[in-house]
Amino acid sequence: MKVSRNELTASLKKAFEGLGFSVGDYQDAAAMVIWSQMHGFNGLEQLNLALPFLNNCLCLHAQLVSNGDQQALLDGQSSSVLLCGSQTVRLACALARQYGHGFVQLDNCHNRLLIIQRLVSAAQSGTALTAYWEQGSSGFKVTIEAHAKHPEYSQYTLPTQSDNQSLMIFAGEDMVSVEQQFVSQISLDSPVSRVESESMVDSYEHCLEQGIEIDETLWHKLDNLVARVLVESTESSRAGAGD
Amino acid sequence: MQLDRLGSFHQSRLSFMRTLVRRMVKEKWQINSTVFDLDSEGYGTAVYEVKAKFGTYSYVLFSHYLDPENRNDRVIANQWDLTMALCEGTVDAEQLEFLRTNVPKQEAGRVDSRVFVLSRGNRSGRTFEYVVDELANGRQPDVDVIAEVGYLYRTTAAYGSGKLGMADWEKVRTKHRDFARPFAAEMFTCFMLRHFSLQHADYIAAQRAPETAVKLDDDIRRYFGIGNSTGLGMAPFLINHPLLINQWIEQRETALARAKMAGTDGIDSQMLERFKIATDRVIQHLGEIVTGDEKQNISNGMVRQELQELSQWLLEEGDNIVSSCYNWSELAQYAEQRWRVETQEVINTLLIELYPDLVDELEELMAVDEDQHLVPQMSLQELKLVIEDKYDWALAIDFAQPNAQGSFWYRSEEKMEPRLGQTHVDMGMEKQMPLAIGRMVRECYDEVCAYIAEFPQQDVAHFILQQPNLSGAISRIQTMAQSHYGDIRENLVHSDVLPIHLLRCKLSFFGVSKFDPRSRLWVRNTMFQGAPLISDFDKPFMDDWQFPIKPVLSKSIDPSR
Repeated sequence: MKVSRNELTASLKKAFEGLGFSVGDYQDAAAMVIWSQMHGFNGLEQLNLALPFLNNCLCLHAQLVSNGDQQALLDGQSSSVLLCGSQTVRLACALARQYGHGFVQLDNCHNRLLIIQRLVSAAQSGTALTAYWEQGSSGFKVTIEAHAKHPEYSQYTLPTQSDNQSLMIFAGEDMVSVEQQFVSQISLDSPVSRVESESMVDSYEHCLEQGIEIDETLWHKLDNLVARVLVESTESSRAGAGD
Repeated sequence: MQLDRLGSFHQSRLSFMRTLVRRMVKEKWQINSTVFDLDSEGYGTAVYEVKAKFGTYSYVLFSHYLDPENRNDRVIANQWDLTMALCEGTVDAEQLEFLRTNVPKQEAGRVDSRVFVLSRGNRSGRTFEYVVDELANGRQPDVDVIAEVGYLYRTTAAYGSGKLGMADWEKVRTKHRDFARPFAAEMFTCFMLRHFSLQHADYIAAQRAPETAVKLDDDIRRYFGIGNSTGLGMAPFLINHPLLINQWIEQRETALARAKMAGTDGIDSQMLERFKIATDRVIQHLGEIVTGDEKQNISNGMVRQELQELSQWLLEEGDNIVSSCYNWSELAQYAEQRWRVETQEVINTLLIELYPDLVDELEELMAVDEDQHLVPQMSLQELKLVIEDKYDWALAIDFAQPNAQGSFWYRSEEKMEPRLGQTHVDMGMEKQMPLAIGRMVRECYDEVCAYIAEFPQQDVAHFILQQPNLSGAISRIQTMAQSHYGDIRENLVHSDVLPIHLLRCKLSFFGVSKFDPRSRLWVRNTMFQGAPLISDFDKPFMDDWQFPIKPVLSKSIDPSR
């Protein structure tokens, strides 16, 4: 079935609220899923994979492990980027504003692909960012220049399998300084695949024009989560609507 | 903005109905029915083709039999007299069948991104049959009877912005310039309902008595609007879209400031005369409003009395006002000192009305990017100062008082209808909607102060690592601190909160008139009453249809018309 962006946003916000997310969290989480879906990164599939986990855990956020000049280490407590991603990117941006560049590593977190929207949002405030994570035999790098509307997404082949559940965020005034930070820590060969901004724009335009395709089973799962924030209707409660 | 002032707003030149009508007339939109397939009782299908400046659209309407017992204006209703959809392009037979299956179901159906707006309407029990009977018997309806209601049908919802699978607002805004202003498509749908309602009455009368029936006189047709019932569903919108509300009010305030500035060096006699005529029109308009709400009646009466005082002063002192270089700011100041907020807002609206050349361009600035951004590098000391400076009204509320948290807002399982509950009486407080902005700010402020005591040099980014659940509050505070009008400075969970003020504020920007409160939770009103007819689009246009008054029939009515 197809749904509109606004409709999906409203449903996701209430569904995340039903999972116990707070106001800022459910707004951010909904934006992350929708951006990924509309720009061709399968945000809804990611969400579908994350829901069982989110449904069976407390809403855990990132905890500060260590904090030095220009860098910090956070523990994601096996939680999702939907809950920890905003904190991580915001801390990197604050460090970058204070010191010229910042680096934050979030360990022990899931659904890292969904971080892209947070990078795009932060870039609008004038910070250039790069995110990097590893999964299996691949490394993933997302870069966005300050004030840019769309990022670049690249996938790399790693020499060895990685079970690393970390997400690294590099922030700075511009992409040159961010890239210098990045290469000082990570060494990669040429990417094996890349998603250019044109492809993301095409996907977005198509979703806007035709609606967003969503699996009906997932839509019903969201409906069930939305139901958690609704209150039973009684004769008395109808009076509270003006009867 | 204070809630009581928001609850005193009237439509202005910047209201969405006004700007829509100006656009349709200026651009001479062509609107014709391509299908008018109704049976003798008036049930069936109508399709109108709309040729606007930048595109072609279809307005598709289904007329159904509805047992009067099932006629209900509430969101929870599931049957209506009329259901309709506004679609992009022309509608082919296949799409028409798809719409016929889904549009009558409203929220229980699904449409697609070719549809902009889904809406429905119910007949007025007081006027529809009366008007049809009169027309069938060869008579025009009595204007006094019409004045009591003002419409033949009332709309009970107009859904747009992507609900139920429809096109997203961004698609409408970027690809369909004819409707690229907030709520333009929704307002157009209501305008077309008005057009159909008049055709419908004519049609049924002619079916019933082809030998004797007459058509509605044009002056009477213009005096019919579309009724509207608005309940609590509109209230959360104002809280959840603070940047948009800020933008609307800012443009309105800009318009008012421009009007006042235009008269800084004095007011000429022609302008003064126009102002007096407009004032007298409002006096008549308020006198013609029929409402069962005693409070509204008293208010209307007091505003009339103050406006009569103003009118008398204009009459007696007109020459002196012109020669002494008296200006609009002085009048506004006088009104603020002596008259009720409702009267002040009438005067503000009339001043805006006087200067279309200075005001009308602002209609293009009513949309805004609504993203709220958290500023993580802001020091907590600065955030604390921002709250103390911009949210002093919230910090002044004592939430420990028994009534200060006497209400809560929640969504019912019945169509997710927003409702207002009584704390410790109604169920669902643990699921309340986060609309208590004042309380949210208070809680945030207390946590910020406590954290500062321990870490005085820390920034917002580190604070939200400790207090992640406050990121939404901080994001809103930091964003709204940049604006003047977006936050409603009132405790919206107080036992005595008056949601009707919120409804009226939004409805005034829509452009409605004749507010008829049915309780503190919902209000009836009239849309497009006095507006031009489609057949007027190619005639000279004065754009002076605000504050509708009973028509003075300019000619003896020929029953054969």
